[in-house]
Amino acid sequence: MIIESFFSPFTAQNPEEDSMVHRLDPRTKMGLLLGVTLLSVYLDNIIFLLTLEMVLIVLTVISRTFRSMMRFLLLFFTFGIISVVVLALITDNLNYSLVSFSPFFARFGVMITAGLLFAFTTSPNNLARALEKMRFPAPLSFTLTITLRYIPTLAREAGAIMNALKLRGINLSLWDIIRKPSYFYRGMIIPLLIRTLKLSDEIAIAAESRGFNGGKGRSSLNTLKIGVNDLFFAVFMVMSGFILLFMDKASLLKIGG
Amino acid sequence: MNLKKFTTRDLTFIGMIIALMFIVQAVTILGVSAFTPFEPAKSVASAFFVSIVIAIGLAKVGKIGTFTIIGVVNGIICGFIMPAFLPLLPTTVLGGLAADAVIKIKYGEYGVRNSLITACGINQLVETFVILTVPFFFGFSQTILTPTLILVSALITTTLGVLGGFVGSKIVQELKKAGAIGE
Repeated sequence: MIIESFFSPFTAQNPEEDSMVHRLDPRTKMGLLLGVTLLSVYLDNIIFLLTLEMVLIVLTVISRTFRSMMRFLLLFFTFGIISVVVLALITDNLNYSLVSFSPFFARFGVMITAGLLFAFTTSPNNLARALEKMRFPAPLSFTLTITLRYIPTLAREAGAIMNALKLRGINLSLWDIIRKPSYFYRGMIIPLLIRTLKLSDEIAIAAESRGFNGGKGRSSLNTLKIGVNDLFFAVFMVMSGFILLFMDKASLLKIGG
Repeated sequence: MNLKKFTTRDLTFIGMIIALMFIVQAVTILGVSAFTPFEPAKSVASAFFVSIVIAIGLAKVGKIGTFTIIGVVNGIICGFIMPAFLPLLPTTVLGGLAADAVIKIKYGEYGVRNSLITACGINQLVETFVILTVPFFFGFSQTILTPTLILVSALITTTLGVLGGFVGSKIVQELKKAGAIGE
């Protein structure tokens, strides 16, 4: 199923994937994501932004997620190139277009790479557990777990309903949906919603019958713990960030003086 | 926000609705990205379809705070998992909070059709304003994303949000008739 395969890299982690980055505590990686996002705002020199991007790409190579990440990064870079070309055509000035867009895309590139590194090396379950450890309200982390668990299921349900429509001779293209929205509404939306309602009722009944009380005091077989690796990694990243920031500001002062 | 008033049934339904909303959002945004790199077009395209799903979720649960939960959970997914873009977290949280606050003041709770329509409109207005002003902090060219364009995009998404809310409330009526949602 196309829809399902699109979501699966994010919602289901391959158990065979294991690396130093995978084993880091999700809270450390959340700190990295937040730190990198803030740093990208403060860095002005594009050379340092690209250096930061390179550091992140090295981390993706270490975590062996670079290949699966490539298609998403390529999508982003294609969008960047199209934007530069469109602006160059509008203003008739390629230099202006490059100067206008380069820092923006460098910053966004850094943020997206950091985000994808987090997404590809952290399982949704670990993310929910990390949020619980950070005193995130239990009902919200329960809702998050349900959402992450059921994104692929609902995508599969939508695919099954679509196939059932095809079997009955209704092949819905984009033009058909625009021309006859009632086909899409009656054939796709209503069955999918009723299926969603039934599934949510079943989950609620199953949870309540097992004494579920909103997720408070829930125990887990695998507990998260910040270890020595996390500390080393955090110190390394903070130091690298400070060095980049210092060099960026120093070079700015030189230009200003 | 009092989370104790949300039952397990409410939380599971909100979770499923967010999953559905996420699929709708991803499919429409990807569909639009294939045709145009124009950033506001993505917000506009997803506004209508996402609002339909949200309106159904609000009508079924009916409690104040539902939109904030939707905003927080959707923000965590969009900020950390897919598309893993952190500024989306405050965007969706602020949108949900604003909608809940307005409905609490004006209607008390979600129930009547107008409350669903208003909530969807407010959410889209706030989200579009926030998400389209974020790029400026990252050095986006102001010649491309002008304040007028932001205002126009916000108005269009609000209108589409209101329309989505309206369609959603119609679907809710149909689901009530079918017995899928209790009166």
